[in-house]
Amino acid sequence: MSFLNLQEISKSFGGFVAVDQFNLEVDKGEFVSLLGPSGCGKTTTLQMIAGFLDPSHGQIMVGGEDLTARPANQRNIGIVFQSYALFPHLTAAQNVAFGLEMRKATQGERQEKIDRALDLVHLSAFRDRYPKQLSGGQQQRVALARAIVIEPTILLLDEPMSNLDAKLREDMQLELRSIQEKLGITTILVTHDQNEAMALSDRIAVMNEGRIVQVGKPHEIYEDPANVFVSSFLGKNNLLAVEVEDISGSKASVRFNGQSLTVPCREGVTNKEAWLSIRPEKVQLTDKGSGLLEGQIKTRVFFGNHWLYQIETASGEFLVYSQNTAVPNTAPRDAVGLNWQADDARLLNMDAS
Amino acid sequence: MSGVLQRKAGIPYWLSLPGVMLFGVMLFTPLIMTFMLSFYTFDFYEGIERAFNLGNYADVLSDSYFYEIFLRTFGYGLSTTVLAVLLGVPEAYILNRMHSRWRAIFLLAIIGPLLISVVVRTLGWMILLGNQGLLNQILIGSGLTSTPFTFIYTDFGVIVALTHVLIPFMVVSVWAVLQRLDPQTENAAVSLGASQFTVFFRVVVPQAIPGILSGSLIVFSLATSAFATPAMIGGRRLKVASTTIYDEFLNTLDWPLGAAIAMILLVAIMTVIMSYNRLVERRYAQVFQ
Ligand SMILES: Nc1ncnc2c1ncn2[C@@H]1O[C@H](COP(=O)(O)OP(=O)(O)OP(=O)(O)O)[C@@H](O)[C@H]1O
Ligand SMILES: [Mg+2]
Repeated sequence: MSFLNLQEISKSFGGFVAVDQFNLEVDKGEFVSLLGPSGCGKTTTLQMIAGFLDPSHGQIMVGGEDLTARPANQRNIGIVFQSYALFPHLTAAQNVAFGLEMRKATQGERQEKIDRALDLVHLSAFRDRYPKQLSGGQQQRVALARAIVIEPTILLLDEPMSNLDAKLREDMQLELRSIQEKLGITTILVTHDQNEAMALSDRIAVMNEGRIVQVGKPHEIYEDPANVFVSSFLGKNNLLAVEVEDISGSKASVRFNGQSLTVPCREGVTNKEAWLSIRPEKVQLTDKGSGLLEGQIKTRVFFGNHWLYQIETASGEFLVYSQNTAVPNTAPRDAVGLNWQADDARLLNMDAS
Repeated sequence: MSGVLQRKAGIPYWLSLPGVMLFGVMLFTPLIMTFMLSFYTFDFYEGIERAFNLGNYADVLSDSYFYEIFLRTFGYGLSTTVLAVLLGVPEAYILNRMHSRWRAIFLLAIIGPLLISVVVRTLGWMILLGNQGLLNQILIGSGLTSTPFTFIYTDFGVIVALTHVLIPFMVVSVWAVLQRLDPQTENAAVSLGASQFTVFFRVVVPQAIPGILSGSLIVFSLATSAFATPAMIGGRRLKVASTTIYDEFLNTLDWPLGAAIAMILLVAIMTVIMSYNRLVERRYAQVFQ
């Protein structure tokens, strides 16, 4: 029995369905991300779990109890908002104390818990500062301390990193993950940043237009996306239109460019025409005439740890990442071959479902 | 180079000249003249004479009659301000949480009365609450009381009418501040276990302090210097500073004494307002930054 159970929850605003029959089971202590493009209903889902919005349908179960009708202030759920929503008239320590006061904790107990929470987010030295006297990253950590000090059953994070610069964001991601693991707190993170979702989560639920498209471990859904939407959302991919010759079990034999290839295939691919999806880092540049595809280098960009190539082929443009192991002996306008392992390609339906 | 900069630096001062002149002519000149007038002497037979004499101030400050008037004036000011805070702040909060369509209607209802003359509004109260007024007719007609409930010519009546006249200033200035608050702070408090009541008093009100402060300053200064409402509802018996000044100028014709009362009223209001401002800003330094 999972700890948090979202059963068929839906939310419509007027006639518009923002969240549509959302099902998700989360284990105790698990870190799950809701990932999806802007407007796909992530925040709405989070607000229903928090109790700020009532689902139009469905049930929210936590630890076997039905929370659907329980008021937000009795759910014992910690939230970190995108804007942090700190109380500007209270110091960092007073912000953290707020939830403990609501719980009528004794003075001693309160002090001890505040100290521990501020210590955990490395802000003990800033306890008497007001939010306006703190940097964005520090404010965010106060917000986190305020949410976890009440020992919530579930921690909800709504794009907590989106206001931080790239470097700070990476640091905070690592820190957030280690705090979450230390406390063993069941966490749901909302984000539209696929790297953040992959770096932090035990599992990711990819959403689109109010529905869950795929749920799984980060590398599972990266390597084995359910459809083209998931595949493109979780990183770059090259799509090659192919003709499906035969499907047997989890293998399909496809035809493109006058050659046949046997590739892994998910259930549900039925059409004659399909996409063959290949991640840029799985493609190798070879000598002209020796690959599965022929092309010409259009641009080559250096990214530090890898090179990015844009390659013009008869079947459209291809992206290739190659490890920066040595100075490449290729240059723009060179004719090259493209090669990949048949097992690294995935066969996907042409339509998004 | 530095010459150019200096010439440029002077431009703002030149640009503010028309405003300064307007204030100089319309505000400071009469103020200074009233100030000078307050030192002149007055005699029933001789009329007003130019002099420099503190007699008017001595008269006012040594007469318990005037103390009573000032006490009443500031009593009205304080009660009106307190009532305006108690009613206006929740009103502004509710207004801010309303659906935008309703908000427009209610905002009109709140601000609308400002478009109507104070005299007309006060007359309205008299019609409604006079001894022969609608409320008393209903009360007596329904047998709830046999004697009319007196509202006109009472302190209570003046305070109610002043509050009604001035509350829009409180609502609007608090609402302006509430609009700028992050609505998520309320959700954050709720998620931490706070009731709606706690959210209002511990999260909303402290953040609304700047609006409450400016609203109270406006309401207090307008209430203590109000003329029409206390004159009409307070009548001859419940004199306040401004009606006393009016009487000195137009009935007794003792302009210098009236001017002295006006100056004392001005200084007293300024003192109260400035100390209140300092006090609140220091106590709630954080929300003012
Ligand atoms: N109160 C509301 N009334 C009407 N429509 C709403 C309301 N709240 C959200 N929506 C709509 O529901 C959809 C989902 O909104 P939601 O805020 O959950 O998106 P999101 O996935 O969090 O997006 P983002 O990444 O931009 O934050 C959007 O199309 C939005 O316009
Ligand atoms: Mg959102």
